[in-house]
Amino acid sequence: MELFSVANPSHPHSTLRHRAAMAFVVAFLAVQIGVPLWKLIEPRPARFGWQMFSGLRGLPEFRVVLRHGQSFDVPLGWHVGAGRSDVDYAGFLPPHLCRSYAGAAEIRVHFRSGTEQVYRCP
Amino acid sequence: MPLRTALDRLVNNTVDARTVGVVRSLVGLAAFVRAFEAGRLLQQWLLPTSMRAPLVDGFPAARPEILFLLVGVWGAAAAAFAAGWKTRWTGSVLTLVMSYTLLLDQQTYSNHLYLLILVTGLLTLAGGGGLSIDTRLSGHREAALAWPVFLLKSQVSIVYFFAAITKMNAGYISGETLGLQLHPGFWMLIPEEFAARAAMGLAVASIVIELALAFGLWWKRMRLPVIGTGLLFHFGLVACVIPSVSLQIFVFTLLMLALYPLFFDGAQIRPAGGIASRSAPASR
Repeated sequence: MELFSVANPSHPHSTLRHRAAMAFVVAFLAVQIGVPLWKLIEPRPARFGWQMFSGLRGLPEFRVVLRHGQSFDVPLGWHVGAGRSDVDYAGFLPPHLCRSYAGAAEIRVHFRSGTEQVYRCP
Repeated sequence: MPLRTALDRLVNNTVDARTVGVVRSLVGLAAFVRAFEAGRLLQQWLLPTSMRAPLVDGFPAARPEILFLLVGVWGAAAAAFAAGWKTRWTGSVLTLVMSYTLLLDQQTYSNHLYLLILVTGLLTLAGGGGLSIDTRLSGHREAALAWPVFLLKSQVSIVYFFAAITKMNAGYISGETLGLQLHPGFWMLIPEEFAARAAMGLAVASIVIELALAFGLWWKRMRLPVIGTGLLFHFGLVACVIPSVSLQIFVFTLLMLALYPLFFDGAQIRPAGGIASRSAPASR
């Protein structure tokens, strides 16, 4: 079976193939220009926008508060392989910390901006 | 020239397969090196203590042994793609395996991997038997399709252009963002009183260089100086960046530099007349 054949204008299907190629060129350029343009309005760095090194969102810090009141800081490296600025740690890490630490009552997320967010464990 | 005519001309033409073959071999090598980084990241991601951060809700995560098998397939397909063995198949498999890793989790996503996927996919579509085992075995070398090569060149410009304009913000231009990404040893070479100005100068220079690369590669007169600047820029990054991202930056450097030959005259468009004219004796 010839899955990948060569473009041939004399072949009856070649017009269809050429149209498909033209459509692909247009669609590819539209996506590759349109998506990074759209990503410009999102906080940097955003994925799929070619925003390498364009901005570093300071990674948040996490504190686990146990039911009996004790608390301790959890370094990101304990639960994250490689810290990336474009990962939503504040959204995904607190539920994971609740599951990982028996007796956890809440997770305090401290952002570099000075604000704090509290996630209550179920 | 009307857009339709230009597009028609583009999809009806071919380019020299030898240049595309060189590019394919280098990109295959970059993908092979990147497989090791993928293995390292997946190993960390699979630790029971590691969090999950799906990039796409409901995206299926394979069992650990399957994931490591995929990395093995990635490495083998990359080596075969570099050598030009069953290029269409190995390129397709490589593109799919890398795409799976990209979409697996927010932590396995990387812009450099995304670019590697796009480039591998386009090279697979371009075909052509330059510098390949396939050509050795068949005795005939096919020319490569011109339109994927045009898209590869456009992709180079798009990456440099958006990388430059997204850096035009106060945090980056102040040198703060770049400063944190450079190796501490680099800053020890610069007197402390000049460090802030040096960081700002490097930040502005990187934006200017990326803009020059985005446009200059297309102009014959500008091409050589721009390529020289690009080489300095990329190798400078590899030498100065913090160790945790140096392998990814090395792969990115190899990938971007591998695409530069496509801008030279040897890889320019020439008319094609179908299968007969697309195929040439391998010795030519």
